[in-house]
Amino acid sequence: METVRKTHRYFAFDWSWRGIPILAIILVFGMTCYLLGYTFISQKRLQDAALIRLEENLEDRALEVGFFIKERKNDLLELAASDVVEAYFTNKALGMSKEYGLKGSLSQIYKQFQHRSTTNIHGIAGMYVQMLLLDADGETLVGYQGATPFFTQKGARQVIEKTELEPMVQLDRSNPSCLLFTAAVLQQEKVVGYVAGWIPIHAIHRQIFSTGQGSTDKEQEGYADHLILSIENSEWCSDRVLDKTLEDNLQRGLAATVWHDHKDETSKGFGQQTTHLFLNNGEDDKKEYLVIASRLGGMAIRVVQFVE
Amino acid sequence: MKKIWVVLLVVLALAASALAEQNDLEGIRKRGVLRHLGVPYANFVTGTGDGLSVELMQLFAEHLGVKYQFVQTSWADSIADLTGKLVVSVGDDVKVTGTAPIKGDVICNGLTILPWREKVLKFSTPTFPTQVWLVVRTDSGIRPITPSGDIELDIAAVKAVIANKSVLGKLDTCLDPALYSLDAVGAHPLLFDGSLNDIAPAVINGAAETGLLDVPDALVAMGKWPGMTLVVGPISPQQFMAEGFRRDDDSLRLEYNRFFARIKADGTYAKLAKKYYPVVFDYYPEFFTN
Repeated sequence: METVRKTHRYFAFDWSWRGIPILAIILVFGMTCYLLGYTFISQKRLQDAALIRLEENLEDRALEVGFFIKERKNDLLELAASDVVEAYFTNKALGMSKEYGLKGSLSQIYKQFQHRSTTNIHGIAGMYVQMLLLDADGETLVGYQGATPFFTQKGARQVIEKTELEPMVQLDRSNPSCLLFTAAVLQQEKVVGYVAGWIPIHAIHRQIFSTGQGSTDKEQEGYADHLILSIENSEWCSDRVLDKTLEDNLQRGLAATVWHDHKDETSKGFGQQTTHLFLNNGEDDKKEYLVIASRLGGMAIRVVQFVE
Repeated sequence: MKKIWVVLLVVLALAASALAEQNDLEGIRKRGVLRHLGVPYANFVTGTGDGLSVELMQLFAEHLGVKYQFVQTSWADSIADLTGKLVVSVGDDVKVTGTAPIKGDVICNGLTILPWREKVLKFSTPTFPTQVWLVVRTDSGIRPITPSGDIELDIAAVKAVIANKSVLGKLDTCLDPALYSLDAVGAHPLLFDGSLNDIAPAVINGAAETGLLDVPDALVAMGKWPGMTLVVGPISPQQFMAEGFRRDDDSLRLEYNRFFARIKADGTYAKLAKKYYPVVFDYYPEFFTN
């Protein structure tokens, strides 16, 4: 009975003595797991937050592009409805000849084009590299060219192919690095001519995506690697290779698409929808793209950021 | 007594000669200032410190190595301010009616070369092509002529339009209706009291059924009042504008001609003209092509 009691005491004593390190190991393991988990979750949250910030930023930029395009369409609409353009077509309809006076009307239009082309747009002068007034048959009546000589006769022809009354924006097929803005000139509800303006896409990119204050390009807020503009159901695109990659990834299910209907004040009136796509270029290429795509009429604006 | 008069006359003649010399090229260089007589008119002298003529004279002053001074004058006074003679035009001739103080060295403001002006001035080589057009209000019911390719036929067609119509012009300028025999076609010439720049708004406001404008002024009017005036056609053949100099001042005029030939050859003048009259090249390409 005594032996049993001793053994029991020994055993009891032994158990509590040997249990401490085990408990400690368990605690340390637990703490380590907790810390690792906590760190992982924190990192994940940071990554998510950074991604959301980037996403929001790019979305803002996409909206800015949409707003910019809307403003430029208004430029063309104003010019098409201006007194000088109306006077030209009125004078022409009344029989005024180029020899005696009509060239004077064109002179005034030239001045308007010159003024519009040299006026600062968001801090950049000379955004329009070319502005033309065309008659209903597509013949150039008067044109203004910026400092860099630029002319695409095919682009001028493209203006009259679509006879929509609302101002339009499309890619210049003969020079896909340029956006072509057009507005019809109407007299008594009949199209008598067109006003067209060309803006290089790189100028829009430089204007909207390189205005941050960071010391390096990557640190600059709003920096984006690419700006792709494409027309739905069209072969024309400003960056065909990258655009095709993105489309392929969409079809291969490597992209997640989320649609947002913007109904807030900033996007009011633009009828835009923004798609967020998180893509990678397949297993061999770990590089990911963060893409924000705005849709404006038939125009898709994709703002692309490579994510390391 | 006779000798005294002779001596006095000689002294006066010498004094007058000395005074005259002060206004020639040498006198200008000695004085160190070129006095540009200018009438605010179209885009030649805008009245706000610039204009094609203003910039041209500033370059000429720089070429001479003297300072530039603008002296504002009027169409009625400009010849007297340059020559010291008060004159009135009588057809293609002039009548001297008195004297006036000389205030400037050159008239430069889009001065059209007219026969009567050549009687009192010497012109530089032509510096700007022009023409006189007939303008009407857009809603006047008068329609422009269709160009025939022959300027004389076009002028005849325009004159046929203005029979029994009032025509607003300005005396002693290139827009003087008397220069174009408008009476002969049954038109009723009216002489405008205001400045040349105001003829277009006067026609718009109904001061006359038609009005005369030269090409540079018509271009400016089209910009200021787009869609309110209509050019019917030409009243004159092509004319030329040039700078006016004193008839006895060949040294300055010849120096100006050399200067103008240089800036025309190197493209400076074309740039200036394009700045103030961008479509002028389309109207008169041969004039600006060397």
